[in-house]
This record gives sequence, structure tokens and C-alpha cells, in this order.
Amino acid sequence: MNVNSLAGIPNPFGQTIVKDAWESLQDVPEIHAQAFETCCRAFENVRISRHCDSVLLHGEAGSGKTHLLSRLQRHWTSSPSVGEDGSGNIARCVFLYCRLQTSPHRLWQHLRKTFVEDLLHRFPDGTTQLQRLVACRFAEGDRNKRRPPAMWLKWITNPANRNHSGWKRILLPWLEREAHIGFSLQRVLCHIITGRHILEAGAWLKGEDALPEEALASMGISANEEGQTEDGSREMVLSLCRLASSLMPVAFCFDQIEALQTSKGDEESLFLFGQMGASLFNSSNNALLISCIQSSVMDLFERAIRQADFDRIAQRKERLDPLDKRFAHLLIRSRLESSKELVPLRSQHAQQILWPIDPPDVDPVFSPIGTQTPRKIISFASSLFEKLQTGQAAPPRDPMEFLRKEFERRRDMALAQDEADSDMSLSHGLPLLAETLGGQWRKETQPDKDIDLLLSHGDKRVAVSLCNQQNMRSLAARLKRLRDWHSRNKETKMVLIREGRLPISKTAVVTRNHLESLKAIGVSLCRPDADTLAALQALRSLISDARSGDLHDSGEAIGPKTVEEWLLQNLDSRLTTFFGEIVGVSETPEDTDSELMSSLLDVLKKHKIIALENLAEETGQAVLLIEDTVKRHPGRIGWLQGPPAVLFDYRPVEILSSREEDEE
Amino acid sequence: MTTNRDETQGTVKRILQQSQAPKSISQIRKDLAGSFRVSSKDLGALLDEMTARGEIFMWPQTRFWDRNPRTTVPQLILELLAKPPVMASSKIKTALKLPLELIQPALKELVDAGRAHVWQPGKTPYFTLFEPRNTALEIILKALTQGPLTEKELVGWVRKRLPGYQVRHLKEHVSHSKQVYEYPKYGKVKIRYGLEPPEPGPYLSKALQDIIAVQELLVPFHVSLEAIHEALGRELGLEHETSAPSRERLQGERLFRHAEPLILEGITRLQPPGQRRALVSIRELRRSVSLAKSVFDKTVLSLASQGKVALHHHDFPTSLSQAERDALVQDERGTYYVGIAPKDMS
Repeated sequence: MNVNSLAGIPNPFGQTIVKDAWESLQDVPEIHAQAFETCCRAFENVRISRHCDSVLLHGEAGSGKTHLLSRLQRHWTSSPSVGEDGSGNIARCVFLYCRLQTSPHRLWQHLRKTFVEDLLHRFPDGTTQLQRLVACRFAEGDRNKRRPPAMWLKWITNPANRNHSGWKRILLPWLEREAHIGFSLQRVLCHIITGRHILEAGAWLKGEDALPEEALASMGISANEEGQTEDGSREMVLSLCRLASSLMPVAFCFDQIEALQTSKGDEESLFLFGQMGASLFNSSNNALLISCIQSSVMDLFERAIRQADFDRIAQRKERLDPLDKRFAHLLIRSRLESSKELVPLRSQHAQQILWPIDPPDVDPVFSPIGTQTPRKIISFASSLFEKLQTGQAAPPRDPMEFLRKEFERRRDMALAQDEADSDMSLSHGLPLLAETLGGQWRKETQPDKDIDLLLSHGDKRVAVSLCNQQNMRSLAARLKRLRDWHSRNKETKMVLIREGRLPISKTAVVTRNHLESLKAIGVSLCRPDADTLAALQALRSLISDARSGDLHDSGEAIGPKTVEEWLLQNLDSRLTTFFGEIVGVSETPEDTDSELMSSLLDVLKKHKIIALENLAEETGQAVLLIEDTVKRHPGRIGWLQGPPAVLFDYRPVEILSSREEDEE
Repeated sequence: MTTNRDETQGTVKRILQQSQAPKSISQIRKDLAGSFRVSSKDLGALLDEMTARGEIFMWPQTRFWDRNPRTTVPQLILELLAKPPVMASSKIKTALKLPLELIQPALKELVDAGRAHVWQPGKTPYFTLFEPRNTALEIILKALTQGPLTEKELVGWVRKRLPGYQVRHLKEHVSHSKQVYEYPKYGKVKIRYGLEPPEPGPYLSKALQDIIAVQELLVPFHVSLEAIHEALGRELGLEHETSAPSRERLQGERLFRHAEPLILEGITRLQPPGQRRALVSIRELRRSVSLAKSVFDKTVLSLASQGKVALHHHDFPTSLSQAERDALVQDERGTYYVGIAPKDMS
């Protein structure tokens, strides 16, 4: 074998993770063919029976769940049967891919956003799912069958027809009579389908509330004072579902259910997912629900959700088994064949189907029981290929270094995130931050829809509310409700969080008044900056990926525990300060004004993080005394149970001083 | 008067119906005393009339009952035999207080019908409800589950149930069984019986003495026992690993053979109806089949290696407590498996 001939050829096994179902990858149809068939049968059942159906897919991390969804996406959204005359199908369903890395209390808002983004997903031919859907529905309603869907699609997408009088005759009556959708949604859909105000209409559909009055006026609709709520989003999703029909159903593909969990063993988030799934199942007759979950979470999932909800979500169950040698070879071969650069070289070794890899070299990847997940097989093949290229084994991996780079990469990417995405980062990221840094604090059940996080420690309670509304009326309405809530729950300290870049307009007098009155009764306002939010986003994506088994360093899974340990050892001072600002409201200045506290804080100034025993040694105080003091000041000093128990300062001086300078 | 006689007959009938055994004239007269005053002579005549009409039956020793001795005696014998394992006819006679003329035809009838069996180790025949050979074999197999036993020990065990049991019976009964091995006599090693093939150890004591003697002889040349063991292996033409299955291995194989169908049935039972592709939690399966942990774990891994089941692993077992991990199945590389399902055999 000429090893040098492989040098410079891109490793065909480089990609081990499928990011989402819209990605098109090299596919081996024989792998998980049974699960694919089951999903197709469920899909046909929706079309024939005009009732919802569902499939629960479960497999190990890296077993190919997202890959299977991608195969289904291609199968259902491609248009192989369009004839030259435009007859035949242009698509078979509205395909939705919803990755559940979100706050369980904002599931419907997340689904709404995903639904709209996927409706507006543009295919290589330039058409969107929404346009295809409308074309199919028009063809369905065309009693004389003069125009097949493809012809309707051509007509719809032709810019020359934008002002055609036919729109009014067909589109509005359909939206009103058949889809039974409300006025505002009708108007917005009309704009989007006919290619007007696409940006504004898309933002409105997704629930973004930053639209200026003029934009709303141009679309002929008015602002919603309540802002985006779970109920509102649920209504929107169900309305959008009604656009589809049983002949062209909506395929909801929920991936990574386990990523909803905000802590190990968190059952509430799974329960909420169960409720959402059952609600979709009950409220429509044209939905197919496909939900993906890790095998190791199945037990908990079944325990956590209501049996009736589980029955709706899991009308059919399918598992994705690890692959045996035969399938592994098919997978490796498929990747090798996909490399254009390898084609001429492989043609010289036609008898060796895995050339340049020697089949026995793959054997060590299989577990003692003779099977392995596709991800590990690909990753192993990648290292074999790399070895053939360089003549050397891959250097040993350092998970800590990997995590450092990943955290930085994700934080840098998040810096490009705009204000509108910050709310989702905060709603999902804060509970994870509390889980990571707030060892002493317990997360309580959400007491009110306006309270996003409720933390407690003994008799201390801190309620956190995210106030990232861009529309000042919505913000004012929320602040008013919060004031009412606080008046009924005076013993609870309240912290409002508003993204630092989001202004509060000077003309928003009512909003400012509400805010001032809240501050006057002791409510704090916290304004995290872009760097803090980027760090939070990096933290939440790392933990979520680790929980879903999608955090891999060259095929080696990095678990949530490793991530949490790394986060602890590499405490991001912005995040500790941010969390300190939240829980710090439970402290009064006098609380911390003791000799012992001063000496503890002095030591903590020197050390980023210190074990309890070491702190006792350095301060010359008894361990029990320090423990007692720290536990009485959970808002000032961070405590992580361990073992060993470690402590850190929630408000490192350098950050506080830099912030003070910024403010000046 | 006629009415009085009818009433007396009715009362006699009731007395005999309620009685658990035949009654003499004086016993019946005594029972009647509360209701009627009848002389022994009149009562005797009345009972004769009732017997002639077939309303009641005469039993030996001028006793009367409402049951027919021909049909009742076999039943009485069966009830009697249900308690002790075997009984001679003389004992049955004493226990039932009935003459042999009545007992013997009843016993013959029971033996012919296969409802009772004869066990005759000597001159006296014994009667039993159980087939003696099967009874003996059952006792032998039960005794041997503890380990191999000598002839004397086994005969002692069987004699408790079958009096007069002898070695010749043992040999005859064992020869009919395919489950019991007869270990040959060799030197001072006596004949023994067991459920497994004999261990070679007891037969090698003489050879062992010789080997020890050889080793002592060769000690000055630093020849170790291991070297002698290797040399023996070579001389006997053996590979390193003996192909003869050890007793433990055989026992283990039997356990696994028993556990495999249990586990496969358990999986099917835990899957929702019609959901053959649903994954079953290893924890639940373990709870449901109640096998020893080592047997369960090895069987699950063996089923997976045979391709009969698919196993799904846990990605982050370190996030689990030790007790939670123990409920899973671990393979030799340390991978923990959390789910199991039957594999498609297509």
C-alpha cells in the first residue's frame, strides 16, 4: 500500500456528529432500516386514517437517531415523483426538526420558533416548505384537478403573480374557512406567501416582539401587549398545524428529549414534554410525532410522564441498535466511497472493499458482545485513516484541553448572537448555572408564569424573572404583574434580569414607572453584558450536548460530570459574579460584616476556588465554624458539596471593579 | 304400630348414614334409646329385613352400615395408605378391624387397577400408593444432589421410605436411570453414585503418591511440581487447556441453559403487547426474573454475543450511584448496559 498516496486527502470519517435533520449526509439505507420503515408506516397511517400517530425512537448516544431523522427528512420532503407536466407530489409532508435544547418552561415558544423557521426552510430549488404546503393545499382544493401541485408551486413562486387578483379569491377564503385561523395570522401568512414583508412577517410568526409599530401597521396588524407566552405559542403552533392536511401531514421530529433536563434526575422537564406531545396529538388530526431519546433515560422518562401522555407519544416504539460487523463495514465503505479523492486510488484495489483500511484492523472497535455504535465506528475508522496517512497513531487526547477549546469556541460564536436569542439562552442557561454553581441553592417549582426561576436556601427565597421584552408595552405589562406577585410574596427576594444591550426607551414612561416602583420595594435589576451571556450560552450548550451524548472528542464521549468538573476547575468569573448578583440579594450588607467573613473573603480573594479543609487551615478557624458561616451566607460565598467540599467567592473583586469602572 | 316401625327404620337409616364405621346391634340400640324403645330381638329382625331389602349392608361381626363393604373397603384402604409409606396386609387388617377375607380381595382390586402397588423385598408383601421403583429413584436423585454417595449411604436413604430396600434393588433401579452415574471401584475407592461424571481426583491418589515421590527425587535438580505437571501434560498428549469440562463448568453451563429462556421470556413479558422492538430496562428485567446477579449478567452477555439480543449501553455510568450501576450489566471492558431487546433474527 502506498501510504503517501493518501496524504492530503480529507479524512472521509471526519464528521461524527449530525447537527440536525436538515443536514444531508452519506447514508446507508440498510442501517436502521426497520426503524425507518416503522416511521414510514406511522406516516402513512396519518394520511390514511386521518388520525395522529407517533413513534418513540430510542438508542444509545451516537446510535444514529439524528441521522435517521435526516433520512426521513430527505424521504418526505424530496420530490421524486414530479412529472414533466408538473403532476405528482412536490413533497409529502411539512417536516419539522426540533432539537430540545431549551427551557422546559418555554417548550411551546421554542417549538413555535422552530416550526416557523422550518416552514420557511428553503430547498435547493428556491421554494420554501410553506410555499410547497400552500401549493399542495391549493391542488387539493382544485376540484377540477386542472393544476397539479407543481404547477401551483410554479404559479405561487412566480414574482409576476405577486399582485395577481387570484390570491384574494383563493388564499384568504382558504385560510379563513378551512384553516380556521385568526385575523392577524391570516394577514401575516398572506404577506409571507405572496412574498411581502417577509422579514417582519417571519419575526412576528416566530414570536419576536421587537417589531416597531410601523412594521406592524404595514402588515395591517396590531401589537400584542402580553408579549410571547406559552399559551399564545401553543395556539400559534396548533393554528399552523391546521394549514396542513391529512394528505400532507406535519411531521414533528423532537430530538434530544434528555437535553431538557436541568439537573440529573429532573423529572419535571420530561413531564412537561409529555404534556406538550399529548396536546399536539389530541389537538390535531394530521400530525406525526417522532421523539428521540437516549436509551439510558427511557426508564426515567416512562416514570416521569403521565401514562396517558406516554401512550400518545409512543404509539410505536423503535430502537436503534448498535451495529454488528456487517453493518459497520457497510458504513465504512459508504464513507470511503463518498470521497471523490479516493475514487481513483480505490479503483486500483477493487477486490478490497474497505481499501485503504484492512478489515481486521476494525475489529478492536467492537465491544465484547460484538457490536458498536455508528459514531464510535466512524471515529475509530477516522483514527485508522489518519494513521495510514501519517504513519503514526493519533496523539493521546486531553479532555480538559478539548473542553477549554470547546468552551472558548462556543463562547466566541455566542458573541455573535443577537439580543433576541439572549432570552432563550437565559431561560435555559440559568437553571443549569444554578445547578453548576449554586450548590447550596435548591430549585423550586415555578410558582407563576412570570417567575422563571425560584431558588431557595432554608427560609431564603430568590425569584428570578427574565424581562427581555423588546416591546415596551409587553415589558410594562410584565412588570405590573410582577409587582402584584411581589406584593403577595413579600418574603421572597426578587431579581429582574434584562439583557444588558436591550434599552428601556426614554419615552416608555409607564414601563419606567413600574420598574422604579419595583426597585423601591427592594427588587433588583441585573443587566448581564454580552460577554456574560456568551459564557452562559457556552455553558448551556456544553452541558446539554454532554447530557445528550453529543459532546465528543474524537469519538470519546465526554459526560456531563466531566463538563461540570471542568467548569468548576475553570470557573468563569463573569458567570460566578452573575450568579452572585442573583443570589446576593438574599444578603444584607450587615450580614457579611463580621470578622470571620472578612477573613474568609480575604483568602477567597487569593484563591479562585479552595477546599474547605484548606480554607480552615489558612484562616485558622474550625471547619464546622466555617461551614456554618458559609451556609448562613449562601448569597455571598459559593459552596459545592463535593467531596471534597469547595468554596469560592461569588463576586471576585476584579470583575466587580471592572464593572464599576464601566458604569462610571 | 306400622307408623312406629317406619319411624324406627328411618331413624336407624339416619344413624348408620351419620356413622363413620359399621355398628353392632347393641350400638344401634343404644343410639336409638333417646327416641325409641326397641328390644334387641326386634331390632335384629328389623335390621335383617332392611339388609334383605338392600337398604343397609351387613359387615363382618354382625355389624351394619349403610355402605357396601365391597365398594367401601378399597376406599378405606387407600385412605389408610395415604399416611405411612408402606403397609403389610396384616397391619391394614388391624387398623381397619376387618377380616382378611374382606381386605385381600379389596387390595387385589386396588393393585390390579394400579391404584396401589406391591413392594415385596422379602417374603412379606407391602402395599403402597407409590410405584416403588419411581419412589426409590426419586429418593436417590434427591440424595445425590448433595454430592456423590456410596451404595450403603444410598440404601440407607431409600430404606426410610421402602423397608427392606437392598443393594440389589439399588443396582436394578439405578440401571433404569440415565441421570445417575455409577462410579467404578478402583483400588480402595468404593463404588459410588453421582449425578455428574466422576471427578478423577479420588482415583489418582496412588498416582499422586508416585508423582510426589518423583518430585522429591528430583528436588536436588530443582525440578518443580509445575515442571512435572507440564511434563505429564506433554506425555499425555494434552494441550494447555484440558478439554474435559470441569464440574463447575458443567454446572455453570446447566445454569445458563436454564437462565437463557427465562431471560428471553422475561423480555417478551415486559414489552408492551405487539411492541416486539421496544427496549426493556435491564433493571426491570433483573427484578422480574430473580436470578443470581452473576448468572443474570453472564447470561445477558452470552445472549448478546450469540446475537440473540441487542444491548444498549449507558454513556455516563459515573453519574450513577454504585447501587444503580450494580443493577445494570457490565462487560469485561467496563461498559454498563442499561437496555435489552430481542434481536431480529432475519
